[in-house]
Amino acid sequence: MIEIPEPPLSRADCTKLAAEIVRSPPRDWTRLRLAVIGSSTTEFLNSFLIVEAARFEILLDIWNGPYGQIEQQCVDPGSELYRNRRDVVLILPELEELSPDLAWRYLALSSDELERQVRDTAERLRSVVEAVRLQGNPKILIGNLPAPPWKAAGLADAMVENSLEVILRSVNDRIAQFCRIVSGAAIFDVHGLGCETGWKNWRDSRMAALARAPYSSEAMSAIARLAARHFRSWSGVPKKCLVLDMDDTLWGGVLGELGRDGIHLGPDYPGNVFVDFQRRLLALSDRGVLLAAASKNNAANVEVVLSTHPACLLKREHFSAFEVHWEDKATSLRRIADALNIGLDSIVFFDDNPVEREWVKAQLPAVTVIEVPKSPLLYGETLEQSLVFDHFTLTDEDKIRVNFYQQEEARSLVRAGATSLESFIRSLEMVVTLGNFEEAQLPRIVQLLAKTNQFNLTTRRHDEAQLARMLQEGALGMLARVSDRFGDSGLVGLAIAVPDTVDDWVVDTFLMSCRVIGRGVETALLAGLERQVRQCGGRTLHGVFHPTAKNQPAADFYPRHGYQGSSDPGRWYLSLDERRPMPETFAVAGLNFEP
Amino acid sequence: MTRSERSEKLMETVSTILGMPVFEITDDTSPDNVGSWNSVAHLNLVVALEESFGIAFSPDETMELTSIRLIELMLDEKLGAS
Repeated sequence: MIEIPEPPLSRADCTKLAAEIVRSPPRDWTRLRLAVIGSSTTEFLNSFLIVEAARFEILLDIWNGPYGQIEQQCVDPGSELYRNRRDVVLILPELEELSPDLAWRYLALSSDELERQVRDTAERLRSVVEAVRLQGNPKILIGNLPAPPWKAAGLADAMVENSLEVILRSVNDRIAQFCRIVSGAAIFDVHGLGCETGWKNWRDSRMAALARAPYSSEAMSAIARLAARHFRSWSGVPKKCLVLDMDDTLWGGVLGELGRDGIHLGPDYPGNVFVDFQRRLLALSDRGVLLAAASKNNAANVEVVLSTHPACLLKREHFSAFEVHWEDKATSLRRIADALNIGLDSIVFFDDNPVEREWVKAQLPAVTVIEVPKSPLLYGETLEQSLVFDHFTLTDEDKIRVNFYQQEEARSLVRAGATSLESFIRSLEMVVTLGNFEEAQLPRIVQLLAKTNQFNLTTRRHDEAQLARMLQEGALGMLARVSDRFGDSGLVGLAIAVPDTVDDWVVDTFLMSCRVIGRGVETALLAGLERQVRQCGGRTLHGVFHPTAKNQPAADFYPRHGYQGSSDPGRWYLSLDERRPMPETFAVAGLNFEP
Repeated sequence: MTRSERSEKLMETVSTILGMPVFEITDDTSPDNVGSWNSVAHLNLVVALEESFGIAFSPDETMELTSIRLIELMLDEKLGAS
């Protein structure tokens, strides 16, 4: 076991650790082939990168591009960059190299010329990113521009119309704009890091002069930490739900003793500390993280605080699940996982009481338990630094996921009132829309592949490059969206069929989001897939089930749909001569399945 | 810090940064006879020396520290010869 001390690390320690890691890496670490190419020399970053990635059990194999050759290396398909497979390409451009006039002479440029150069600079970086994407489709981290070491306008810089800051912001905004469109590319926020670190601490002018390596040790350490955070966000189970205690977590003091008007929550200390923490929690909710409550309290008292306390920002509707009673918290967490249809391993638990934390750790080792500091002032920072809710990109569906669950609560109420499952489904007035994979949806498809565990027949985690290749080689990708009278659930199901021979097709992937299981959507998706395979000339469709620790609910999917067993117990097949009818409890739209 | 302590620390730092065993390091060890002592390792070594001895080298000094003997002379100059 390699132990890595907290930063800052001395250069000697960092070099030593990196050498140790590379010499005898643990076998179970994730291997990542990283290319780093920048306007400056990037070799000095390597030991920092190796050490920071090691914190997350990631082993880097790094190739450094020659300095100042971002465009040559990335745009030329014959360059050294492309001689080997790269999983990640980290690009670190600087304004000084890309457009010296913008960096040093912006005062001498006309507005038109300045605008043209800003546009050109961003366009050149866009070509770089698009070119990299075409070569094996690695993940791309494109740095935005750090500030040059001095400002041509001096004291007046913040006053002039085209200040250095304005130029940087314009180029950086454009980089972000194309990153949102090019799939697999993400901004690497060098500018943000520099602001946090302070530009004065960012540069090492001696190293800049001697070796074209302008970064200070502090800067390199920050860059490496951020890169590692990105690497980490691509692996592991994404956390979906934050379960919160209430007393001394959402407000100061014990509600049962102090009453609504006695708890610490308000504009002055110590109440303002808790208001700040609630603000952060609301932001997490906006980001798509589900909030849930697990508190030992009288539910009625808590409801009063949530609905009438003037300083309480969190309301009842922000909690997707609400376990407020005197039962133990492991039970509460299990119920929350059930109610939200998520695994315990996607739950994060935040409770100021160490006894509760230990209990949950012992009872439910899959749950991530945050080590909450004694001082409430540090709650927000601690949660942020735990990195549990780091996601590579925020899709629109993440942002509205919270609504899905609120709709689900309403659906549950309807379910309670409906007499049979069928009439319940009819009462939902569902519309299932089937469609084929489109390029713009690939990020969301990859996300669904990565995080669906329960109703997932093969649990194959394809990435975008693999998907693109499969589709190119003739695979059929079909997706299902569902809406009902409570709202749009978005993309909820995926199926991929690949031709084995002209006649025989195999279902490579079939998965459904748990939100809609039990409504027959899976049958509609299967029917759609079968029909389209038939249209492509397939005569027999083979289905495979790979059991995992979680996908038992999907085990009988093929036999339930009339597939014949084979000598292999995990494999079924169906002759496609007969057309499977679509379920009649809802409307199916999208693809045209005329014979 | 005595001279021998200083020398020990120097050997340790050089050994770490250049990835070579202490017993192979001599006064004449230099970029000319150690393959791993390239330009990147050189600057890493300079930064590591600055950090372990709490001193700073100018750019020109940085370029002059091209053998163990020269580094020791420079340390004498910065830290006193005693």
